[in-house]
Amino acid sequence: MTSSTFSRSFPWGNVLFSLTLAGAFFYYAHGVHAAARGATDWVLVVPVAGIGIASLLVITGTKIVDWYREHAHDSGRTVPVKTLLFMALLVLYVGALPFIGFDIGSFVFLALTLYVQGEKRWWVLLGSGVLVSFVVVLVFVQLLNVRLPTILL
Amino acid sequence: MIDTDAFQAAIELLASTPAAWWVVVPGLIIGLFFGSIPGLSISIAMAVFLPATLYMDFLPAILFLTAIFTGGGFGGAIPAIMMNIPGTSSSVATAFDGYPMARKGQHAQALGIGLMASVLGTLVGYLLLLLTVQSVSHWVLKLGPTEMLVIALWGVTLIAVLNDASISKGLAAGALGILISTVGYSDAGQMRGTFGSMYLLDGIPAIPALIGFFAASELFNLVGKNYIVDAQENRVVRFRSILEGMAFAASRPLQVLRGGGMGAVIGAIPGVGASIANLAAYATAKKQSKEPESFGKGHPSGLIAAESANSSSEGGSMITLLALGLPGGAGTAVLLSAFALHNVTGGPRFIRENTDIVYALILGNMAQAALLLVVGLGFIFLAGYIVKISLKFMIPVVMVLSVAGSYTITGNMVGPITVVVTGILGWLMRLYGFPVAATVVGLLVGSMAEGELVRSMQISGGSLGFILERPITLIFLALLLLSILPRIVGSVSKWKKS
Repeated sequence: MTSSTFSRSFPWGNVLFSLTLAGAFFYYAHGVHAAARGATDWVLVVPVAGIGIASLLVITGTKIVDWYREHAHDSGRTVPVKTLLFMALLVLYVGALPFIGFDIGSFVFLALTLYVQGEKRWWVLLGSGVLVSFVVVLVFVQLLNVRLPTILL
Repeated sequence: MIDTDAFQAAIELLASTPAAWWVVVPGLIIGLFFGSIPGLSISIAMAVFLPATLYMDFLPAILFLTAIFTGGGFGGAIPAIMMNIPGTSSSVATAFDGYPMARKGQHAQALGIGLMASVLGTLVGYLLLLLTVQSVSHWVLKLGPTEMLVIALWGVTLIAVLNDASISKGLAAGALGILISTVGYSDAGQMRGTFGSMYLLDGIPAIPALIGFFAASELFNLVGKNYIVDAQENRVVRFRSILEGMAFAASRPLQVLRGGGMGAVIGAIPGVGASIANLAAYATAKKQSKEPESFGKGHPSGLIAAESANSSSEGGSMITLLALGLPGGAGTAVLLSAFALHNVTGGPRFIRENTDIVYALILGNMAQAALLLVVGLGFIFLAGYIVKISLKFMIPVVMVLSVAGSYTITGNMVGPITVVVTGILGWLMRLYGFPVAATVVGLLVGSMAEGELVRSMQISGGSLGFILERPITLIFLALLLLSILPRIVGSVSKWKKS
């Protein structure tokens, strides 16, 4: 399987993720505190963000110390390309839904994700896409009366 | 404790009202169906079918809705076990051990255990209701905002600390959930984290976020795999295995009683309900177990605790509905609407003047639980066939269902976008070893915690000494500390040794 490896001797992924999250906590808490009109506006947000930031800094520090002391490698996690492609298709699917509707959008998404996962038979790709998107739209729109945006159905 | 005359009258009332029985099986099937589809909640099912009760008498109307409640309570366990997607927020802990069991090929046993624990849990909850309904109203009224705040914090702390990841990762994940829950307009009218978008004024929708954190992130991990159950020989649905699972749960009465008891007590607290009950019972079961390290990897006791607690919390939430006229959650809020439709108001006076109807409701619900055993058995036998479907097909189909379900909840694109964003965030968290469950619990109880904190501040004038005057708060705080202390001490001593 083709894979892109995120692991390096330094635990970059873990450290960057923790620091990004800590930065987001700080940004959010600072924004809430700056716009607050009284303590009731920030009384939960600021302490919780503080606990979160402290925990994330501990995680980062621990990772760096472990790496420094033992030259421990990150656990060698590999991310399959198929997973990244699937995520990209999901982002495109949800982004395009307001324009192409649930019927066409779901059909294209199903066919492409099946293809990405190794299904090459064209009639399976088309058949599954048509069947599932038809049934989903039918159940939600006709049976449950949900006003999903659609183009054809 | 029990008014025997009223009890006898209740039996006569149920025997002379055949309509009260006709509605039960359809109600259970509706509940199972709605509960088992991620995105469709029990409260949606109850709300959709509420108008159908308009022309029913009071007793059949309430029994029909509680049948949906009971069926949905277990229905949520099916996707939690089979796909790691809690169909409802009360099935979060069910997925912790149910899904690993399914991945090991023990899906049929897991479903059987879930069904039996659910049925017994419901019975425990209603039995406690039967015994305590007349006296409990006084106790519930003693819970103020400080007690509710500690309970909410207890829910997050338990799951943040009692997980396989480090304590700091659990706390960071719990903090993330709480912060996400505060996005949108606060109770005090402040706009927070909306980036100027009117779609975020109501905050980030909890159920789509739950679907994203649990389902989408797990589906990303499954891409490239062939089946939920790797070994082909385990990919079978045996009726016997379901029965074995049911027998297993039935042979653990103490575990069921513990989970059921906790569920009923926590479920009786308005606004807390099944979402916290299943997590608290799970954490307690893990702590009491001789092999806590196997929890989260497919331990049947974790499943028993979670399912018995979330089912018994239904009985608990009925206590506050009947005794105080207060809904404990969305489901009981719909029941309250049904009360209003029939010009009935819950409360001590209702219990005193209509004790026979109250007992009839309780006995009817106990009978529903027994019927769920039969109806649910057929339902899970069909659901078990999910393991035979190739993941190549199942992943995109479940994803489309999750996206459509989340659109149904919000009525706009906020739901699907939330699923995608929280799905990717959840996937990153799993990749780096953060417990996603802690984020979800923080998300579910965050807004309640903030509301209670603000109310506590307003009542106390900001003085911490106020807590010393609240003995129940102090007891809850002590319980909170006692429940997390062993893990903290263990972690510190482990760190010192290393």
